[in-house]
Amino acid sequence: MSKFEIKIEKAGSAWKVNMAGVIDEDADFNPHSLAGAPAVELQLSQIKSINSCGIREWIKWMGTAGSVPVKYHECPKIIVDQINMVQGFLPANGKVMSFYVPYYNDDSGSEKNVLFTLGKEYGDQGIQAAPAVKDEQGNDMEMDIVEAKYFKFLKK
Amino acid sequence: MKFHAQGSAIFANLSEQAKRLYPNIQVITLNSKSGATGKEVVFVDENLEADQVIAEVINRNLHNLIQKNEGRFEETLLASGRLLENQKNYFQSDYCFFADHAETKVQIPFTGPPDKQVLKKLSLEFSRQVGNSSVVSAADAVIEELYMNAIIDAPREAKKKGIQSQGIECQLYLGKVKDWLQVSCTDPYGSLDIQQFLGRMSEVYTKGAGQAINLDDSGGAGLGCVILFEASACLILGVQPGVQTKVTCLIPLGISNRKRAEMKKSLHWFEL
Repeated sequence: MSKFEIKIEKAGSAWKVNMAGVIDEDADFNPHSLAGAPAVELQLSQIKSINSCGIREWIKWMGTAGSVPVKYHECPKIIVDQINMVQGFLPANGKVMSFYVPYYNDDSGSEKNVLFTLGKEYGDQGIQAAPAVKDEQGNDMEMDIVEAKYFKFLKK
Repeated sequence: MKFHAQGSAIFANLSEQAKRLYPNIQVITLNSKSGATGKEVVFVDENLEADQVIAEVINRNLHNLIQKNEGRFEETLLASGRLLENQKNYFQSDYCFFADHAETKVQIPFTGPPDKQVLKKLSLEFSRQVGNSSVVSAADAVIEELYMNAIIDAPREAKKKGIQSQGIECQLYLGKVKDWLQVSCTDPYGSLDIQQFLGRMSEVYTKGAGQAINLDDSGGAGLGCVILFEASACLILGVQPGVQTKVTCLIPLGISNRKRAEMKKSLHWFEL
């Protein structure tokens, strides 16, 4: 079980926040207030899991940023699921800059996570150009999600 | 003592085996006009979304609502019959929903936060053995919430109700049978108020999780219950008041994450 880690770089025009590990009832956001940040950029690719307590703490912590712009980078599926399910998980002034989409091949069972980036694979109106993805044996892979649910946050 | 099946479309493939094995279980389509109720009735549908399952269970006071998923309905129905025929068996520490014994299983006792790391390590190892990464992720989400229910919510509710614990040891059970991963968690309090549990789920589905979440509460509230249901194809809630609570989630194996997300959900609940 990987421990919750958070590092904040406060230099520049936006505070850069790197998060990793498990966000659960033991994750302590209190020493990491975002109050006073001119803007916040979160790198989320290393988050492994989040439970209901972690979600609640996350929302409270996001509230410390106030109304400054917040950007989420490289959101894994577990974060996209929360953005879709829990209003406020992505604050009103927040934007998803990139997120992972799971792909799957039914025959081989191969799995891959593909990064979708704002302005490239998707825009403010939704998916623009989903890439064709192959596994290591050259088999075509399909998006392993229910598109109406997984991409719901793009239309908010 | 009769097997009662109404609704020819849904029951077209219902086996003689189910009728023979569980003659005292009534199986009725949800939209039939039979007016049947009771704990021994299994209601069946095939088109309900997760929120609609919870609404039907609450509004019509249903105890058993199962849904038809292609290739899996027969075994789900048989397992439901088996559960209803003797609900006491459900509380056996190695009770397996789909068969007498799991093909492979692990049972992990735990008593509190110091055990969580070992619990997570062993359960992740097990789910990696039996499923792909999306199964591991679903199982992990379920285990997180079951752990929270057992360690935080159950003793808190027990204290409120003046229930003396039957011990301090909880147990997590993971078993693989056929194309299913069963995750069960038992706590020694029997303090779960199932109506309240379902009501909180309903609140999350109707108001939205962001509105229903209580930012000042230390417990799991409705969001955790919904996370359990969303990650599973079937949820079983059993309570022996003042003795024990056992919550089971069934996660389908051998299919993609998309197909698992599209599966229709089933729910059983009972108090002994």
